[in-house]
Amino acid sequence: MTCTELIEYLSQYIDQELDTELEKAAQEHLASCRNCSVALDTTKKTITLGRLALAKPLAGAKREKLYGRLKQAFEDQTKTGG
Amino acid sequence: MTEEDTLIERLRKKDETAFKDLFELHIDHVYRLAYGILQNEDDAEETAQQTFIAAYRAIDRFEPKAKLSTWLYRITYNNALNILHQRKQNDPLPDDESERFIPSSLIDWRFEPEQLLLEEETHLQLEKAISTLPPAMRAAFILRDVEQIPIHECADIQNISETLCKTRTHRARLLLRERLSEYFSERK
Repeated sequence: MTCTELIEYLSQYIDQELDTELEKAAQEHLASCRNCSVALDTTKKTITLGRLALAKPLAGAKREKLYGRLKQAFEDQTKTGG
Repeated sequence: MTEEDTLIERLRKKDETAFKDLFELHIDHVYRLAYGILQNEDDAEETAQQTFIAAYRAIDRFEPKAKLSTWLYRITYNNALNILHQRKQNDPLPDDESERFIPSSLIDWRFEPEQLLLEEETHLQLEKAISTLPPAMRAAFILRDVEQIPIHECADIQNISETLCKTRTHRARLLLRERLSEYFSERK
């Protein structure tokens, strides 16, 4: 497997979607290619960082504000039959 | 009958508390996707509002076989795209399946994500990196990697093929990695 191919298959490798033969080829390439190992490691870190940073619940005040706004809009539309 | 079935039943009967329960269960997911696509708090709030009202009104047409969360994500996605369209910011992604992207920044990061997140600057850099992606790639990343939704549902929500969904997610990951590496690799 070449570096270009490894990068093309990188997400499928991370998501464990490659067939056995391709997965083995990817593992062999990664074992001997420092650049692709770094690409794999930092892509995994990117995914983890995104998930940990963004998958947070809305803060209480914002949540209340949003619900209040939504309830008001809902009631207004119900009154006007909109 | 599952808890979701019970909630749908209550929504159909116009139970007043059901609307609040729907909001509490799904607002985080709806808002995250809306904000992820739109990158603007006012527009994300507007989208969330439109989504819950539309869902409440259309609850009788909801297919019992589907998942409520998938349905809400789909309404959110479409509403957000409509807002982008109104703002004329909708990038059609003409090169979705062409051009291979080759990473150029190949220096390992010094810290683990958990350590990086302790610093406010990390959050700013992540927000900045996400904002540089085209909206459709942002949506793919949020759905697949932040919300951790299976690929077939991601594709369904965006009304695209699984192949295109995988391509968008892959490119989003690589572009984000590249932008974040520019920052984290420089750290000493």
